[in-house]
Amino acid sequence: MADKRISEMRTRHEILTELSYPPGELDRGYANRTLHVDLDRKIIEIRPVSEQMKALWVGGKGFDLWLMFREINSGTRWDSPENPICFSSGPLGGTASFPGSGKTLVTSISPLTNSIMDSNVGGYFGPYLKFAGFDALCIVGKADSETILCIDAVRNRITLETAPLESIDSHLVAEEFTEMYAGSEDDKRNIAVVSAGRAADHIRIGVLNFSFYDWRRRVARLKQAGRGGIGRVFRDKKLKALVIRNRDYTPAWRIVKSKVSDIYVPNVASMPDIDRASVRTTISRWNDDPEYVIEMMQDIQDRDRHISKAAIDEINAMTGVPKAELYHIATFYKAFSLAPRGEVMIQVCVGTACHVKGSELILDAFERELGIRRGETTDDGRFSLEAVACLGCCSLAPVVKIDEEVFGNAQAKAVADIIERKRG
Amino acid sequence: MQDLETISREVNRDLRAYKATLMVCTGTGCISAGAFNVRDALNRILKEKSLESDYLVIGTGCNGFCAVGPIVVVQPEGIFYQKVKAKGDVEEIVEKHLQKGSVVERLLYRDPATGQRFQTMADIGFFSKQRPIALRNKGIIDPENIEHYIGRGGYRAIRGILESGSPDEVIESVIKSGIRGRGGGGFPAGIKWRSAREAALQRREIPYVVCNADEGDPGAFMDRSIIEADPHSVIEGMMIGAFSVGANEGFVYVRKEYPLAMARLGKAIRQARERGLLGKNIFETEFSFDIHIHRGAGAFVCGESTALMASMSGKAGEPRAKYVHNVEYGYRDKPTVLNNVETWANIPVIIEKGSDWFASIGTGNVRENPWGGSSGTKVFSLVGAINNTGLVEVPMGVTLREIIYEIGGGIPGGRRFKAVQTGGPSGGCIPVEKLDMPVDFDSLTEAGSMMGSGGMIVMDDRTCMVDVAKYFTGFLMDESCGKCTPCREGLPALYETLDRICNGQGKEGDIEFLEEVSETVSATSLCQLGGTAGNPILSTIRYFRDEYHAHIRDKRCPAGHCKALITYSINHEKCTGCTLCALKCPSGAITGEKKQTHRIDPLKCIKCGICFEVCNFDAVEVK
Repeated sequence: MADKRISEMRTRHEILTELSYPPGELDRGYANRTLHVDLDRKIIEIRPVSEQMKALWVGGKGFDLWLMFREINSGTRWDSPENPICFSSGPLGGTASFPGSGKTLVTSISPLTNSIMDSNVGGYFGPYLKFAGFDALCIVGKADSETILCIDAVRNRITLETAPLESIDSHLVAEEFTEMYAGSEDDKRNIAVVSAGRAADHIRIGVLNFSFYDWRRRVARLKQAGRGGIGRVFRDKKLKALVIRNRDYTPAWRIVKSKVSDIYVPNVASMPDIDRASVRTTISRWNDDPEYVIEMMQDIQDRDRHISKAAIDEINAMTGVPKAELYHIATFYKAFSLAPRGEVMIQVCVGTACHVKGSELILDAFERELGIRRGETTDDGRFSLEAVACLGCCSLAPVVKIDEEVFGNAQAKAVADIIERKRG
Repeated sequence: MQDLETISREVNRDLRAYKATLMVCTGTGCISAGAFNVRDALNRILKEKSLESDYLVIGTGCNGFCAVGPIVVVQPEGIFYQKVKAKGDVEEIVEKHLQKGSVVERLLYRDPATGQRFQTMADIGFFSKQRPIALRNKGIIDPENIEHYIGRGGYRAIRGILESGSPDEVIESVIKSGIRGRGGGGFPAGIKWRSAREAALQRREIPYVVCNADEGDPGAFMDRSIIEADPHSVIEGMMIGAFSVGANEGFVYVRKEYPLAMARLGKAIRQARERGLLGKNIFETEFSFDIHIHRGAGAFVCGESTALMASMSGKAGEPRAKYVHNVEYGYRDKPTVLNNVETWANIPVIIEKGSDWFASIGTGNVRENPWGGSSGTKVFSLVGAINNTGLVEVPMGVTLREIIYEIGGGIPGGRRFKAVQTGGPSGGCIPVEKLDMPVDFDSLTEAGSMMGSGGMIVMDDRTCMVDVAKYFTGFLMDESCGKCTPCREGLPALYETLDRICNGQGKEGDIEFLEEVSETVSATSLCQLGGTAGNPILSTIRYFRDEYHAHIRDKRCPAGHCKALITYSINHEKCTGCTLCALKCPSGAITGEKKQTHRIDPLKCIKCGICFEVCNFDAVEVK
């Protein structure tokens, strides 16, 4: 069993050194601490970040280079023990404010050029390092045997451990450590692993692999710091992996199913045949003009009560708008549905005025009576229930609209009767 | 083309030939209350009695006083009948009022506070404080008949300009009037026009004018009502705009949820084309202009200008960064003027009566600087916990108190006023202490809310402010297009925290977290949807921190709204044992013998609120 194998691997770890540290507070993007690991002397230490360092060496690359300058001298070669590998994601790292702020910069002296090389990589390691309270990580020295560095931000403990049994190949070792350090399936997304793989033992173009856990596919996936062969340096230090465990406080991990895969794919087989000719007539009424695809789709939706695969195909063929864009439109706008909507459309207004006057209770009543949730259609295809934001009859709040008929001042107690009448 | 004066003379002569005109409000609100039936019944009875040549029935646009619909106004006296039913009431109006000349007392509006009945619209507090400019023709004309609009002086402004005006003069006069965009942003319309004109001249491009009728703010229906009541005023406004920037094509982007507005606008455009008011060489001048309608497809974010342009081009409505302005590169990358319905509807009046007249209404001095104040009037939809719900148009600068108590008639059921929410999901909640604040663009912004398109939702002490914040955040989370990270990820984080607080699982530090994330989302989002998304949360925390504390520390919802924090119970003294609640309870939680007091099993109760609704004796209590 996988679990047994993993726990056996873990029991074989021997802790070389460990450091407990106080959790850090982030201030304007900085933790104001860097982490230093010396594999020769088996020392882990925390160093402060000076104001000067922030002013002069701004950014992930800046910090990395500054840390490197302090370690190397004119004689340092790529395989010298003092050649450091530095990781930093800069002050914006992990802030989720801008595209690219999840990236990490890695620097080292390159085995390919023998000069300093920087490499930019995704994955979660950099942001998690920041969340753990460190602006950068600098590793120097060489280990005696296969070693890992483990930063556990849950326990606020950093350890240097031997790890003899785990795989070396990145795609395996990332899975193994993710399994080993995660508390639960949901917690796996809090683990990030950096590794280099077996090839990096032999060739100078070895890359670093940064993992992130893909909860949709339930696998640890990899991003590469590819430039300069820093993976070769990593393996030269006999590092098997860097593992970081994040405190579970990253904003709002949400498990959201893709609308297209959820609604569209299961219905492919049962999709009713529709009259392609009538779809074509609709499209030509708008002169096959790509600018009017939304109008075409509205006409089709009104008539067929959904946008079928056939309709997407026809629009694509006649207007030349890519299917991906058509699906984007069909799932972006609320007016469109990829699965057929019911014959009777029940819209419960949840605009502000209606909300204040208790529309939530009415919506609940419809859900209860119809046995479906908002946004769904009954199995017999008779009723669809939708919550809409404002029908513009706010003075009659709360409002329910059934097909074209508007019911003002609606009450939850009347819902059962309304449905009874519509069923009848 | 026929002369406007001739049309006007003829239509007014025809209308005067009738002994009386019956104006039946056929706005969406009154229709759902049965206005079409009332109109048809009136026509039928008049025909039966062979009176159809003496009396004319007109279906008008929204009258504004939606709370008392369906409404029939008998002109020329202006007798205002409310809550008219197709059966019974209509016969009485015809027989008693029209034939015998005496007013039907029981259908007159009755003041809920004093019980006094009023005969005409002008007497009723709801109308007497108003000053209709954008809604100048509401309830007076048939929106589906262009002649009525012309009869009220319509299309004179554009004719005057075409005969003897220059684009620069028009733009100058719109700037001087100080009119600021009624869609929410409050950007001076004239300045927008001037930039578009300059960009068009410089690049030798033909610009476009666009009317934003994608009124997505929940709780607002001004634009719908304007189009339903007076579509030609919007068309004329767009013509004036088009002439001054040099456009010859215009577009109206209408929400799909407004089928009636779309139909009436479509009809108005067709009529204008038939009369030569749209098309080539209008009024035998060089000016050619036509308008097309684009249907929105249900996305709130499409009210945002750049998203609207994307949607009009047949793309998903995702906003873009605004360093390139629409007035330079808008629809089809041409200079584009985008104004909302109410702004366009104001334009013909400004041209006709002059910028000085318009600037004299409202607050501040806008003559030198359009940012210096708020001129003109603003239409608000007054809804929620208020007696006189409906649409009101008031000069800028009136106080909230005047709107809520004098026009709105106060809070029903003797409840206490708690807050008024303005500005839609991007706005905020204004508490009772600020009731005497003047309503204009700048004061509202200062109070942490905004003008928005003009929705005003009044809340009483049964509205939970944490729930309101959660409601708006949930709305914005659903409507976020997902393009930029702070809005896409920040809003769910905020929503989950608010949801937790409402479920009684709030903890210390939540308020600070909400404030911090709200500020980040607002500061770093691409468009104004995210840029103002923090307002509902920040304004409720600012004014109602106590309520947050009650939820977080005491696990109590003072308003009795949050399901997880309330219980339903039956007051033994009031319960008569009528068994109605037990019959209606969907979860079988209520037990009790006939004529004995009932009780609710808290374990089975799903808190659906039905017992509270059905009880005729107020015996069901929420705590």
